Amino acid sequence: MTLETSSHEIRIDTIVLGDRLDALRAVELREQITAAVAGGTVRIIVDLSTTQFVDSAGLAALAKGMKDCRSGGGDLRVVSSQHPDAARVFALTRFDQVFVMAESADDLLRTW
Amino acid sequence: MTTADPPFDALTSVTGALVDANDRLLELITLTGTASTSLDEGELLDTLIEPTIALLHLDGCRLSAKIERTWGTPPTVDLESTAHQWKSNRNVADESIEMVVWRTADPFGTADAKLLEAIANLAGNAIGMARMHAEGLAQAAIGQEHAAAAKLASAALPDPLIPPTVPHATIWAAARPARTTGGDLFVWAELDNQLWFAVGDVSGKGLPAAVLMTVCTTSIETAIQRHGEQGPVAVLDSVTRSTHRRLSDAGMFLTIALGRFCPTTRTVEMANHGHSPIVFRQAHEVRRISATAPPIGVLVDARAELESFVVQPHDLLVIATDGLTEQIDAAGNLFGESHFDALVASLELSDADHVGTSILATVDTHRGTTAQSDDQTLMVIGFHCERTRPLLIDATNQGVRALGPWLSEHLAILANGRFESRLGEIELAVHEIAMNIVDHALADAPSSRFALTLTVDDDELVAEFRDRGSAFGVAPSRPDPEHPQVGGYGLMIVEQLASRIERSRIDDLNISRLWFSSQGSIPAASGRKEAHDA
Repeated sequence: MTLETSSHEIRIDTIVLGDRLDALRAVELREQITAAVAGGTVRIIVDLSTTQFVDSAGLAALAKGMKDCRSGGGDLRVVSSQHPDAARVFALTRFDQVFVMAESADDLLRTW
Repeated sequence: MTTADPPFDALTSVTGALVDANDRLLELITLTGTASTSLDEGELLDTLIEPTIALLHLDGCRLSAKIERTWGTPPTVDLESTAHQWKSNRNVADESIEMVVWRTADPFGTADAKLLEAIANLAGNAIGMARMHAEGLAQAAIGQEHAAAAKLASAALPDPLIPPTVPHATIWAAARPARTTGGDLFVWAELDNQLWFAVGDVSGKGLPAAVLMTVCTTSIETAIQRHGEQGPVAVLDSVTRSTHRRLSDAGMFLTIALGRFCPTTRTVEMANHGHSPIVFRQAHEVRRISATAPPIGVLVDARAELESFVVQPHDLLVIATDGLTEQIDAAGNLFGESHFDALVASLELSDADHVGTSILATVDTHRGTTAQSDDQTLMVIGFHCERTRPLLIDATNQGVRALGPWLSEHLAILANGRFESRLGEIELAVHEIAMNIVDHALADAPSSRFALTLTVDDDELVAEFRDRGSAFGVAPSRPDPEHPQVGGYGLMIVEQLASRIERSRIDDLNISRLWFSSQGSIPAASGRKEAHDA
């Protein structure tokens, strides 16, 4: 019996945000995601663990990134904010049912 | 055949006459076709007279009106003895116009005279038309000057977007001129933590009233600064001294109600020179604050008496000009004094802005499609609330970032910690409305600013935005978890965080209000899609 082995490398980019994801920061985030997808990375983790403020423009940037990643066969997943005000935005918009979210990037890495 | 043959001569003569007639006809067509292409008097007459000279083989022509003009060759000696001439006189717009033409070749025949009579008529019409055009231009220039004066006059009034703020009172005002310029005025100011206010009406309409209105407005503002410590009667004495002669010389007068509110004693003091209506509402009972002196400009030594009263939470003071109570409907019925009082008494509101906009809306409903008959100015003071000074926000993403720290600082002072547990939610909702204004209402005016004011009444907070952008209205979006859309979530967030949202537009002003209760924080999670769901 011949045992054939092969290895597969999955590339995952992680983007760590600072304390705000608002309209100003959303522009940069969109550019980062667009560049990653254009470079062939369609699995992206956005780390919001230290982010204190997220607005609808920030959500829109995440939603657009998720669509782009999913179109390429991947996904954009989110590390939840530890700050209740930032976390609440996902609940208010039901985006916490849309994104795959976890408490840490390691938890998300294990999902791929 | 030779040129001496009589039949040939006759034929030549007839042909020449026909050619000549045809040439004349062509000239005539040219003349009538080009006469109306210009509205300048000189050019109009040139296009008429020059072809006429060619057509009738004239030596010259002279038109004597306000300006005397001569075409062709002037007679070198006495016109009467050297040339055949034709003369005509007529009146155009009360102006005598004489037309004289002369030529040495042939005398003027009947056909020439008829043609010249028609051309003289055309010249008269051309002069009349040019004069009308010039008068139209002059009128248009005057209209532009009136519009510029109106803009200057309205600039003398305070910006309704930024009312003064003192504790326990909110103030609102609107001025709507009937023409491009008007004599109504209002003044407000905060001085030594007291709220000063005035509503006045310079008699007459149009530019003269507007000019005196600006003089009176400046005088009132100066008098408040200089004599405010001595109270409203002393302020109006000063206004009388500085404006009486000008008003009296112009045959005009100023009705004015002026007062101040002291938040410490919750007392209003007022002086009234001939102004009406002023309605004070307490527990839905209304009473008028009557005049105790004639209008300023009538008697130089007239002095008002001081009216003083203590206000309670939810009391209202409404000061209007008679343009509101005297507004007629399509049948010619006045809105009426008693109707106005009943309206103030019946409004289930105590917020100054709401009362003001409701009164104007009711008067507009009464008016229907009838034109506004006079200037209309309305001021409402609501007593009760704690309110911040407006924060002026640059209409940029960076400008909106200033909201969070300002909100945190002022809400702590204003509400004594009552809204602390909801600060994050309030900041998010207020931020979303601000971004909506930046992205939609003021999208074409990035260098403009808009205002945010916070008002706290017991356990309720009202955040009010005012901007002068385009009307906007974006329906909230609800994302589908299977097919999430990319944008449009701002108002959806606000709807869930605020207990009430209201948006209105008055003239060119957008007003967005959010109400928040101090209770009822929203949980930070719903049914989360955890990682193991993937």
